[in-house]
Amino acid sequence: MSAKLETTFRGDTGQLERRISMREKLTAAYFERERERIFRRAWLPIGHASHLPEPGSYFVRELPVLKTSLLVVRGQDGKVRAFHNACTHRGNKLVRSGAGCRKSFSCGFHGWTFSSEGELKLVTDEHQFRDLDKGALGLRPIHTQVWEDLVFVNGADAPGESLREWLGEMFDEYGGYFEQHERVASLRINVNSNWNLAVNSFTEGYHTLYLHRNSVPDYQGGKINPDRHRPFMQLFKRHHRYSAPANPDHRLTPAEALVIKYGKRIIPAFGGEMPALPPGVNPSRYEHWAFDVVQLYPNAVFLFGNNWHIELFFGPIDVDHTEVVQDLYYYRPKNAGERLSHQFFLSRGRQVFLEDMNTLEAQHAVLSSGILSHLQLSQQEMSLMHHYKVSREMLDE
Amino acid sequence: MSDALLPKGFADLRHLGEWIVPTEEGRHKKKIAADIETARRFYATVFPRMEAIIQHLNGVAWEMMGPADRNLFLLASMCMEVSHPVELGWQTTDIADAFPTSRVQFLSESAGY
Repeated sequence: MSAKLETTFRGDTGQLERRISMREKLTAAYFERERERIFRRAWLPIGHASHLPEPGSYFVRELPVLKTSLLVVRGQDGKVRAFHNACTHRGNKLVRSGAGCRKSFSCGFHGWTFSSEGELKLVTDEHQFRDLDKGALGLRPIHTQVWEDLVFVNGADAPGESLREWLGEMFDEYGGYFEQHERVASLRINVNSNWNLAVNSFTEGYHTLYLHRNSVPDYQGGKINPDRHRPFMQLFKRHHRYSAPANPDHRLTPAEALVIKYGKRIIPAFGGEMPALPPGVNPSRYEHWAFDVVQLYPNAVFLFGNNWHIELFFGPIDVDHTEVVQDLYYYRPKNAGERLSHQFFLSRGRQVFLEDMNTLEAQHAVLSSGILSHLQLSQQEMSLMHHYKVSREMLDE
Repeated sequence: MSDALLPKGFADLRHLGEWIVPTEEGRHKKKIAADIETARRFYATVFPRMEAIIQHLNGVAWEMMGPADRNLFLLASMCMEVSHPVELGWQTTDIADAFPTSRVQFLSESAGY
């Protein structure tokens, strides 16, 4: 008889559907409702304030689900703002792409120039305009707030909830966590799949025994938890999180043993020195903790570990296409040995990610064909049930 | 191919210049383009030297690293990359059932790797 670990559930588990009908969810009409009722009302994370290190620092972020491109800028006053990346003269794209640092932004069409705070500063041949109100022609802002270094935007005219309300009790539980890590790698894939399916693939651990049997064969569960049940799951009003179980008998490969001798443990080697993690990380203080998976509804998934975290963004392009970006953040290395340790873990993590990505197009094709009428979900996939419950609520509100 | 420039003490690895690849994308593609036997031979040559490589490079300030040490770091990075298929016993260097690399965009490598 194998040992069983029973999951501790916290939060409102009522109104969850264990059979999820998908066919309607994969139609263009449904996607348009999601766009207006969910994405336009949600606080969406779009990047890091620390990636805007000085006044004038900026990056461009495409947001097709809101039918816009954003210019995210740190002003001369130090404040981070996001604007629709469009010249207010004729609507040309102000900054084509990328990131950098500028005192002002000039449109390549007619030279209208805006400050890093979004004010219209210069109009070419201004006297040829009649009744031009420059004060009303600044860049069009989008509601922007920063939480723990993450920049969020909200596309509503007047957001129904503040970012604090949107994040709920998680708002106060991650103090200082993000600033311990720096980005070491980033991958982007445009996948022919609906965004819901993409998010769902990263928010349950049931698949890890099989899908990742070659890339990380024994990193979770082990003899004490052979089915890899999550020790802890928590459902919030919009978001959810769970902890993944480490395998205390994980067998280190020779390279893995070497890199943890000269560096710190990152996935798939867990444990080691545990500093005082914020209360939101390993919230149940599970003894054999590996990492947490946190879905910031609707479309961001974070893996929070000790010395590392991963950020996944699932940007809907249309009902059938999603841009997936995976950013790896690790502790800051002190020497070449720690950098080589990073190389080991980030290359292993890439293999795991490419396995996760490879089921999506097959799932999408089958589920949109109607061959399967429903998804059948296990208790270990409760986060998917919760995802669709929150969507129902937001679509109906 | 001519021998790679490597620090004194690592002359035994100079014939491996083709494995010195400066980007994450390049290393991943080099790995999956190699057959598993070639990867195993590369690993068998470099891995026993890894501890000496780390100890040598840990004595060099990252910002002051010259081209020979940089090459050694990149060679060791490739060893880390190749260690997965070799140590996990895969039959090929590209994992079965993985999303195709040709459709993956490798973005910024901000840590300077």
